[in-house]
Amino acid sequence: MQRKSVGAMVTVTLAAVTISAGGSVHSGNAHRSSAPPTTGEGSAVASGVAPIDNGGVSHWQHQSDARAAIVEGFISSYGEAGGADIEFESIPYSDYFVRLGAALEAGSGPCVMQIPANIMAEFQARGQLAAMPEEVMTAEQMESTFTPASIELLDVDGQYFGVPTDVQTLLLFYNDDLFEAAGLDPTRDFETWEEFREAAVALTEMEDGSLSQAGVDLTSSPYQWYYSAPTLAHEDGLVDDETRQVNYASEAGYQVWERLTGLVTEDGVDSPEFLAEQSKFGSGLAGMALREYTFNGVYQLTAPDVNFSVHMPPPVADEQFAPVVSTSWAYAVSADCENQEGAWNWIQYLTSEDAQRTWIAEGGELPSRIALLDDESLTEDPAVAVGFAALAEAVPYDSIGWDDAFAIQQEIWDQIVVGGTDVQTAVDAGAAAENELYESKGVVE
Amino acid sequence: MSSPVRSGGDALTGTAPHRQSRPRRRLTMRTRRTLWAYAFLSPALLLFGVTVIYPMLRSLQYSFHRWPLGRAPKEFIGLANYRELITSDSAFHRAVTNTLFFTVATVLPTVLLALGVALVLNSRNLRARGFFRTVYFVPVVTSLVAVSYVWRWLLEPSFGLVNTALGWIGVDGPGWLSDPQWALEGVVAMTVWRDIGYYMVIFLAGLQTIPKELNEAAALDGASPWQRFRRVTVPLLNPSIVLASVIGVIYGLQLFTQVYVMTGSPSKLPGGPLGSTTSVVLFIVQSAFRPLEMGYPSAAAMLLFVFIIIVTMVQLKLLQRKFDY
Repeated sequence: MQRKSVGAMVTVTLAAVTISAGGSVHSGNAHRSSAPPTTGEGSAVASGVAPIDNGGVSHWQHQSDARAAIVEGFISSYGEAGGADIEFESIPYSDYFVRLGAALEAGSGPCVMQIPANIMAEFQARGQLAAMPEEVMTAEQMESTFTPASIELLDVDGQYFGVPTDVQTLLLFYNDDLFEAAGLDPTRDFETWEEFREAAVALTEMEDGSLSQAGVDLTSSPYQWYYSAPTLAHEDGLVDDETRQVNYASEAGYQVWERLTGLVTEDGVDSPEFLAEQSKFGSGLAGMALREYTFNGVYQLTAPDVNFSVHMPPPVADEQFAPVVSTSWAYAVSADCENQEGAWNWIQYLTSEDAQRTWIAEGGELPSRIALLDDESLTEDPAVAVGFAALAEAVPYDSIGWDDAFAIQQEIWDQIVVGGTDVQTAVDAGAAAENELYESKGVVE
Repeated sequence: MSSPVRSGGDALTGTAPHRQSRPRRRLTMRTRRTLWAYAFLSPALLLFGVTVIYPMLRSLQYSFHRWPLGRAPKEFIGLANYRELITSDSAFHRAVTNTLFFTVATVLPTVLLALGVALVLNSRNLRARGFFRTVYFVPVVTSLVAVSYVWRWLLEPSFGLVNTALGWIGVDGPGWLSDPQWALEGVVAMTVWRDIGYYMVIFLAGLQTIPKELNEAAALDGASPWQRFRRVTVPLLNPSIVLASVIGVIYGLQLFTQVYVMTGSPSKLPGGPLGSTTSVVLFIVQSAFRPLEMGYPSAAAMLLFVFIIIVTMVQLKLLQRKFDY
């Protein structure tokens, strides 16, 4: 009888251990700074940030080899200057928002996170972000320090919730060798849509009735050009400032969509089935590509045999309110972060003027700080100079969504290009879906 | 041992009267064994309760609400999520259609092909049976993600092996994963290829249990091979057929990994052109983690759960037969 009681107690104990082990919280693969923090004289870093901080700060961002390496370097230097211990995690993009959303909900999310400016308001509506304290930067300081395009979407009801990073513009890349082979001048920007369309047709080659060289690589960018181009055709961008509804279900919007999709449906300069999901431009099988500025660096690494140059994109509408669109992300602080001061200090360090020089030189980013726009030492490379020039005139892609909005805009494209739907029907359906999406997210009234 | 109750002592033995005592209730052997069984099952049952039952109940709760994550208010909306899914969400309807098509298109051919392969491999005359069994089973033990990535390249319209091979015989291959008419078919082809080995093993095990004497007796009675297969083998293989079908349908209705890997990329969200490969589970994941709202996808998950239960019960009712020779 005694043996049986002991056996039952052992079983119950095992059950309790099993449950408690399954419920334990762990930090996963967080990477810690390799350099122990030191305090000492001269610990203040560039732009007046003094990170004397003994608390820890967790930092998540989506994975990019270049960005991860830069952040690792900053973690070391920050620690040497007496800054907080930074627990850094670089997460593959495909998992990033799933993990971030679940972790924030579970209370195990990071202190500092990188999120697209377009969904800043969404995170704020869920109460997941901390407003930037005035001691860090007042609204006036934000507006005098950073470019308007990079901070427009970070302002929610008069308060700023993040500091801009990873600024990009969409630019047109030429394969100079293919241009010359087609008798085109690779040093000229296109001044009209028709010039661009004719060049795309001239650069297109067929073999046995199938595409063998695309005039324009249209379908291989994460920020598909056709998501953002309609922004340029409306004075207040993709989304109406007053009604918070999309603008592109309009004559101007229909024109942009018709021109973009017509490149495939009528001119045949690209096809979704030609090198599907591949980088046609990087393979040397496309005359042009519309990609983010950062691909200047990417192509240098991944396509060393492609002789390319960088240009302003062509006008997409008869009346265009800006020549180019920009996108950006922001570093924000979680409302649940226990070390808010440490988190904002770290963000200031990451976005300081010196740090931005590093981001520009090594990370393929454009500056968000106004002071760097006119720095000629940064624009010695002609491609970088084009990026800076584009940024000076860029307007932000202001959709109030990210992957969910992309899915709707992709559906518009697919309906027209693959499904054969007429432009107005597809665009109207997409606009209705996108307006419904904004309403469901609680970011419009 | 109980003592007889007497009053006034025992005159014969002269012993003092015994106190009256209550009979001890003892557990029967069967009850003790049952309790020990529950004791040993309790860790697993508790874990199951915490990791499966509890989340399901919470999901059911969410399905009656608008449940955005974070500090945003949660709003009870009754059956509104279910109503919208069933009556007006065309993306959900498309996902359901895709999933049902995928399930029928994979389970039926996979089961038939696996049965055929098992019959051949069960033949005593076949040499190198072990080698062929391995060949068919290797795809099963290979990571589904890895297999999906490889098939994605095989089905690439411009230079993929499938279209290249079709070109050798003068056939102009379709756009496969880039073509809404063929994307799901590409996923079906990969799944059938991969799963044949799994069901082959189930059928091989079932074939081993069929007594040889029954087939021999049928042959002696003049039954043809087809008649022996139809009247002896298939009926006695019924438990394996039911098992394979039920498992196949459940897996089919939970389609996710293949479409996520084969039709998603850094430049395209998964789901194929025009949502042609969006499955119900992919719809649930995208509905949850894009807007970070849990009510709507929870309702979709509940609908899928109920549907799987109904389909499984119908399958068992229709397919399960008891045969005795």
